[in-house]
Amino acid sequence: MLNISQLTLIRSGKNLLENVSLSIQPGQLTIILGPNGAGKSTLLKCCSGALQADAGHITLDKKLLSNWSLADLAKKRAVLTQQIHLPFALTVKEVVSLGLAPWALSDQQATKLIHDTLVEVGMPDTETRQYASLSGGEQQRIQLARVLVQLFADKPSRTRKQSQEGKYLLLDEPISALDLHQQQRVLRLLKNLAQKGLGIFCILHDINLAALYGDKLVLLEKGKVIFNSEPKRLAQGNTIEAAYQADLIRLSHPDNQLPQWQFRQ
Amino acid sequence: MKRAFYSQTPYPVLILALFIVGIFALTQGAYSISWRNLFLSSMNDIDRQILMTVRLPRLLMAALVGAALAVSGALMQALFRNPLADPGLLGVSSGASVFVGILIVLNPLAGNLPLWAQSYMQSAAAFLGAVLTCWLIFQLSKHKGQVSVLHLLLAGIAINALSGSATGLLTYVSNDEQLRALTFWAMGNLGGARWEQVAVIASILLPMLCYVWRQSKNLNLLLLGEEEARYLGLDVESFKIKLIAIVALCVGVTVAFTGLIGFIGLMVPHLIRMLFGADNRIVVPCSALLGASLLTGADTWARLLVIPAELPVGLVTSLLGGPFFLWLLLKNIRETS
Repeated sequence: MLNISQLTLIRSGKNLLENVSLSIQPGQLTIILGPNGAGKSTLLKCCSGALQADAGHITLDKKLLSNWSLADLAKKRAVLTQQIHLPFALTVKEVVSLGLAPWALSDQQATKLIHDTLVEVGMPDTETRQYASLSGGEQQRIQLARVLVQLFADKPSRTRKQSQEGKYLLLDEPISALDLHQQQRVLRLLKNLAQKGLGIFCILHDINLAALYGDKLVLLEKGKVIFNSEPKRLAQGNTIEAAYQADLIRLSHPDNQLPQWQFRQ
Repeated sequence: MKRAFYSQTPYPVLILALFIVGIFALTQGAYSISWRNLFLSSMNDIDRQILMTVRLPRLLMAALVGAALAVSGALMQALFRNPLADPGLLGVSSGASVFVGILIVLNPLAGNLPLWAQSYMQSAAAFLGAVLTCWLIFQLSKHKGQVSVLHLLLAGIAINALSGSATGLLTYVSNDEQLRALTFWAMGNLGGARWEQVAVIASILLPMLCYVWRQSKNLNLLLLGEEEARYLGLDVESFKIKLIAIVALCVGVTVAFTGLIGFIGLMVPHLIRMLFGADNRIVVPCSALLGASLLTGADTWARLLVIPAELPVGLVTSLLGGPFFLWLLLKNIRETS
């Protein structure tokens, strides 16, 4: 379990995070929501070990995050940040294979794993294409494939059940550049991975998709957690309307009665 | 872009090229040695004398320096995540040269030490200068955690200008003999290569090149960005410090022995990336091979062009590299706009 407890982060006199406590459970898709500047990406950077908090602590499997070595951490969790620009002309296969850096796989195993993962993110048979020639949405899926191989590498065979248990995926808006079809494909993939035992921390902008796919929603506002529970709990009250300060109508999804929101014109 | 058949096997092509250039460098010059005699080792005494005391050490020196400069370029490009980074353009070489200049002009001990000791001392001074400039460039060009091309090149211009004036000042205070040494050395020259120097340079550069080759997988991680490289398990801060030290050492040593030889670090890795792709596991060893060939070729050409005199090799590489850099810059501007 990735456990965040009473985390506070202060930068230039401003509380970017204030007393944030939450946990990312294996087997759950936890979605982080919040208006711009609420501290979502900052929280992700703390959880991934890139930023040190001023107070509070984060533990990963009951061991303080700061006590993990970089090499062990790289085998335990993968992080996808927003928009990665590559200065040199690498092929898709070369980019995805960077995710295998923490592991020692044979060429054959690596080739197979990369091929299978590219199929899974909807980019089959693109190995030899130039990364720079792809569209923003395609690049985003290639980067997703890169972090996925980082987690799958120790069990390259399809019996992923054990290998993913107790591993974590931290994603910063992984579907921001994708079209509708691909958004659905990636969200279904994440849901599926979570059901197989992966703990996923995912920042999303779209509250409707978050309510539809998330096992747990965490709403941040000005660095504080103002909601941390199952999506259906948002069907009462006006937490979302207040946090985003938007004029919304709440509906109920016809398939599963989960709350959804629409603009009032 | 589909790559040609030779991209699958870069090494035989590059090794063959180095071999041919090497034979050419050994046999051609003001005094020609027949290549047939070279292979059958049926050379006369003069042939052998020239080969062993002049041509062979010079060939080894050129190959080592060319390889080190090309690999330093590839390293800096990975470090700064920018294909335009080059030790010469960014002022690392000229920073190192100022320190060697200071040693030549102001060192009271210079004449009394054995050649190898002088060589090591010059290397140490150049290393110090190179480290200092690398650090300065890093501080100047870093903007919000990112290295911007603009800041990088501006820092290079500033450092090159500063070192230029410092070198000018040194020539002003030096005596005739020091002035001669200073000017010849500053233009970049492989002429004085002797076995002692080859031994010193090899003892420093070869381990560095091997280390970089072993680390080429980690260089690839830097291409993703420092944050992402950390997430993949690389201790980025200590790795960066090691890389800067290696660049400074390679550039420092080459500057100390051969003066300013520009543009190898810019041209070679770029050509390799165009031919064989940007994977550093290929770029690093291939750059070493091509850099060795290129500098050996350029040096031989510099010897042949104005027989019996010879051009400084730094002049030849700048002649090749200047237009290449302009083309690269234009291409880069067009791609980013």
